[in-house]
Amino acid sequence: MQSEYQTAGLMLCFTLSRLPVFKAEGDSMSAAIFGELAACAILFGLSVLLCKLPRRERGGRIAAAVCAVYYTAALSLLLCETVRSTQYSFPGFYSTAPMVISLAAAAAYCASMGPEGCSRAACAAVVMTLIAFVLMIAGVAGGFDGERIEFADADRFEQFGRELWKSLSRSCELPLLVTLMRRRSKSPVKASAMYFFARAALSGTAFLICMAVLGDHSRTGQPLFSLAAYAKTALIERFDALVILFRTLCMLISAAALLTGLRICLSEIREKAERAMPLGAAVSALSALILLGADLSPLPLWSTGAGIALAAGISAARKGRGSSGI
Amino acid sequence: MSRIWFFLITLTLLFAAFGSRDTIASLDRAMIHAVGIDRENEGYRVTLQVFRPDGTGSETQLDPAKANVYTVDAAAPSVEQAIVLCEDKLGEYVFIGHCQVMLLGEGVSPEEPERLFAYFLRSKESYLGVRLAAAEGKASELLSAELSEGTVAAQNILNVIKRSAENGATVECDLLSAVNCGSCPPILPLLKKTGAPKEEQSSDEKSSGPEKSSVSQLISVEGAVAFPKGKEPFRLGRGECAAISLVKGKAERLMLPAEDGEKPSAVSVEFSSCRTDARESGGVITVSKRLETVIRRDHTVDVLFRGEELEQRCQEELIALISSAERLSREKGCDLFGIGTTVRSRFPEVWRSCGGDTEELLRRCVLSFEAVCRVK
Repeated sequence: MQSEYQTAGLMLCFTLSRLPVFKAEGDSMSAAIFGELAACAILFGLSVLLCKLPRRERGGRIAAAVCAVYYTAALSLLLCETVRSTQYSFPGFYSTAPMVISLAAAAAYCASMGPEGCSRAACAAVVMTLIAFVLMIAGVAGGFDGERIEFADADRFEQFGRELWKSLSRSCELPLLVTLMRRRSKSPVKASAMYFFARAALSGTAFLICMAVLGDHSRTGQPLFSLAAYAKTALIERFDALVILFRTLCMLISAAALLTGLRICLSEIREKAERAMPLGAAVSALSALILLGADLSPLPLWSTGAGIALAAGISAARKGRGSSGI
Repeated sequence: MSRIWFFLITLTLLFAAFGSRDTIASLDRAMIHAVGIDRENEGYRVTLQVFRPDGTGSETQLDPAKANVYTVDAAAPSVEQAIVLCEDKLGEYVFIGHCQVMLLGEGVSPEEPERLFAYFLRSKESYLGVRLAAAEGKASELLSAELSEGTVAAQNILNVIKRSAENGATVECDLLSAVNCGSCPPILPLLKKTGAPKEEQSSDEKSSGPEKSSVSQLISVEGAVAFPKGKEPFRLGRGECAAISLVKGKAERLMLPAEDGEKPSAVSVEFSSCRTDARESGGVITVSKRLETVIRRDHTVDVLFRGEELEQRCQEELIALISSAERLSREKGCDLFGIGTTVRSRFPEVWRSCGGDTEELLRRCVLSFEAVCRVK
């Protein structure tokens, strides 16, 4: 059993991998802040509700199949986003297909550590990323102007709705928390509370700093990446390469967690057919519907599919630790 | 099993290395330290100051003070096209990630920074904190100047700007500030190439050949230039720069005249804080700024001055500087103090009703300044 800190750390890797590639849905960065906070509140309530409900020992093949589809889609989205953001950072520098395949293979290697190993690695990654984040804030402290923060754009309510929908649909770690991590965490409710509080604090702080330092420039491109390129300290002149490093690290651990879930679902499907667990299937189906709201770029999907197949094959070939299913 | 995975990952990464295109090795790139943009006919002439890595100065020890940079320039309808032509002349790609300063010659205005600096804003390599400055005359002349100290010219320019801004002699501006200025016009430090005559030549040197005149060249800061949108740029004197820098919290210290009887003297006033308060009443917004400064108690202050009188004199001097800047701001219809940012943040409806018109904004705002000076 892993501690709630390890579970929260693993979930936080998902947030940290999404944060640098964040782009506002409109002109209002303040709508992004409130959208993210509202999404955290809604998802926290949902996770507490689902964690408190009783569960069966085995989820059933149908539930496992639905979860497998969801985890595959989430993994594909994660790889697509990473590739797109890396190409945004270094246009024309990296080739898409090898990048996707190598990332998927590296994620499979991380997944071979098992969920507990991934969680321990996630905690280390989160700590290092937060240290880099704090250093980055120190590097832009001179350009901080509180008057650039404004919360009264003309169409803020419409943008708030779009940001809320985007935050909800990007939160692929919630089904992972409710299904896979619930069995392995000592206190899933506490882990959920820690995670969503940390996510709200981190996202809110990041967006506020972007607004205060970059001003109107935060509405274009990827604001946190622009902030990292602007930050300058005595030791480190620019943080954009560091952001890419830690973002990739967090992405690998997140992908490893999804891959672990996928592997467990595949092993569950291979088991004898049992009565389906309606709750697990319902959660996964709902999550898949929400995920459809996300923006899936078709461009790297063929290589993503090959990468996922390779990674899933490598993961499933290794004997898993324990036989707990969904 | 772990060895197979490690092998697979390594093999995949190997394919990734072969699969990448457009990879430009750092040795094949020219490191740009400074960029100069001048107006030429209907287009621009861009001057790039390139760092020469083959040692500090010349290849021999005889003249180690020689500058380790060289310039290349090209003219084109847009800045981006001119940079591409410079790349053709250099025979290598440029790397602008280490660009320290961008000089704008006379006739070049950053009032539309997204258009002028499009090349730099689009590139992920460029540093948003690159310093901008206006050159008196041609930017290319400033970049080509052989400075007497023999240091890297771009670094020298940067140091001159930084020290002057800290002392309130000018207003600093970087690329991000220029893009982000809002209602406040971009205010750039004004640089000038000055020459100081060297010592007179000896009689032996005079008889040996034609008279040689050698001048050591320096770059100095001559206040700043504001570039309001749709209007003629105008200069800001040292006093106005000091006032604007102090109110915005960008200056660290300022030397203020403090007459000691009949013998003029000066004291160093350090910036402490500037608090802004804004109230709306009947459609008029009153923006109050309280500037707090500190005079460090030292031997000179104790011996030559009396504490209260000195504080009063410095406060009056600061108010005079700020009032002068405010008069200039109203006369030119420019928001030099960045009041628009305050209004936009605290009274967004008023900001939207002004529709981006700075003169309308200034009409609806009443500014009041208070300066406090304490000897500590």
